[in-house]
Amino acid sequence: MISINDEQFDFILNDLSAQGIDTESVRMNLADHICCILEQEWSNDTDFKTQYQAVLRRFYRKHLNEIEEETHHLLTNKNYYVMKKFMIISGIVASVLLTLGVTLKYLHFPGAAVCITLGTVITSLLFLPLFATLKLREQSKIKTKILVIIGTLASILLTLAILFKIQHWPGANAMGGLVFVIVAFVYLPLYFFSYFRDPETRVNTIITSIIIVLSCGLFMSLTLTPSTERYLQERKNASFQLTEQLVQNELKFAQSKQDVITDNAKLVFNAAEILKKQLVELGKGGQLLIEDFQAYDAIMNHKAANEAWTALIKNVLAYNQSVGEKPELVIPTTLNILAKNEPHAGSKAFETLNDLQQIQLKVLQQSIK
Amino acid sequence: MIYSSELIKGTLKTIVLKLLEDNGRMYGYEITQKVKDLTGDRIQITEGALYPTLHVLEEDGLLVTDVEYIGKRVRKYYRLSNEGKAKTNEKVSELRDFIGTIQFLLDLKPQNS
Repeated sequence: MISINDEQFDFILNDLSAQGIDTESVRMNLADHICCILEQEWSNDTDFKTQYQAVLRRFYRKHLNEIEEETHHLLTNKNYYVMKKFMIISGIVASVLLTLGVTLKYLHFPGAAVCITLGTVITSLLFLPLFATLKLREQSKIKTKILVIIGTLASILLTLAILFKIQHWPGANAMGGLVFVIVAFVYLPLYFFSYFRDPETRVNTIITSIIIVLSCGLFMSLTLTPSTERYLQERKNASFQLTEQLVQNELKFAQSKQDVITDNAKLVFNAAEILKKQLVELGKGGQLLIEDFQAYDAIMNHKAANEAWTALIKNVLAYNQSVGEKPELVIPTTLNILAKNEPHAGSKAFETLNDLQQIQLKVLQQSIK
Repeated sequence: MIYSSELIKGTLKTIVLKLLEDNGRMYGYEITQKVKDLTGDRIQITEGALYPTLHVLEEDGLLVTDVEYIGKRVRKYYRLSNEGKAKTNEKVSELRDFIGTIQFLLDLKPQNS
C-alpha cells in the first residue's frame, strides 16, 4: 500500500480550496477521504495526479463545490425550519394575547392594556419580520422581493400606528399617514404594473388592487384630517375657557358672601383647582390648552397630581358628609373623575377638566342656597 | 441493485447516527466502507452527501469530534454526543415506523386496485 506524503497532501488541500471547498472541516474530511481511497487503490502504474483526478471525479456530478453548496443548503434549511417554527409560535402567542386583551378590555378587567401592547409588539417586531424573511427566501424574482419588503414595512407601521393610537402615544397619526402614502403611492403602483401584464395573474391583480384602494379609502375616512383635529382642539379650549370664566365669576360672587361658604367647600374647591392646574401643565407646558391625553394615567404617573387627586377625593367625602341633609348639594362620586373604580373615569383630559369645573361650580352653589 | 441517491438522502442522517451508536467513533471514509460492507454494496454513500450531513449533525450538537494527525493529514473521528444518543433512538424508531407505513401502503395498493 502506498502512503500519501505531505507534499501530495498539500497538493490535494490546495486543489480542493481552488475548486471551491471553503469550509475547513469539509475540506479536511475530503482530503483524508481521498488519501484513504488513493492508498487503497493507487498502483504504481499511474502517476499521482492522474490517479487523484480519477478519484476526485467520483465525488461530484458537475462541479466539486456541489459539496460546499450542499453543506450550506443543509445549514440554511435547518435555520429555515427553526424560523418557521418561531414565526408560527409568535403568531399564535400574539393572537392569543390580542384576543385576551380585547376580552379583558370589554369586561373592564385589569391587564387589557398589557396584553394588547404585548400582542401588537410581538406581531410587528417578531411575527411580521420573520414572515417577510421566510417569504423573501421563497421568492426568486427581485420585484416580488421588493413588494414583500414594502408590504411588510407598511404592515409593521400600521400595527405600530394602531398601538400608538390605543395608547395615546404621540406619532400615531403620522405613522398612519405614512402607511397610506406607502401603500397608495408605492406598493399599489408597483404591484399593479408588475402583475397586470401577465394574463395568468391579471384578474387577481385587479381584484387585489381594488381591495387595496377600498381599504385605503376606508382607512382615510376613519382618520381625522389635521384641520379637523385642530378645530376640535380649539372647540375644546373655547369650551374650557368659557366654563372657567363661569367658575371665576361664581367664585367672586361667593367670596362676596364669605360667611356662607363652609371650610369643607373651600377645601374641595382648592383641591380641584390644584388638580386642574396640574393637568393643564401636564398637557401643554403651562398653557391653557387641552391636549388629548389620558388624564387618569397622567395623574397616576405624576406625584403632585396624584396627591391633589387623593386630597380632592378625601375633601369631597368630608364635604358630602357635611351637607348630607341637603341632597341637592351632594357632589356625585360616580360617572366622573371621583369614581375610583370606574376605569374610564378620567380617560381624557378634557372630560376630566370638565368634571373638576363642575365640582367647583357645585360647591359654589352652596353660597346661592 | 444499488439504491438511488433520492432514496438514501432522506435516511442518511439516521444511517450515520445508527452506525456511530453501534461502532463508537468513526471517520468519514470508514463510514462509507462500513455501509458498503454491511449492505453488500447496495447502499453506497457518496462523499458529496456524507460530509455535508456530518457537518450539519456536528453543528446541531448531535456529534462530537476528535482529531488525529497522520503527518500533515487531519483525520476527524465522529461520535455521538449525549443529545445525539437520544436523537438516534428517535430517528431510528421514526424510520422504522416510516418503513412500516410504506410497507403497508405498497402492500395495500394492489388489493385496492
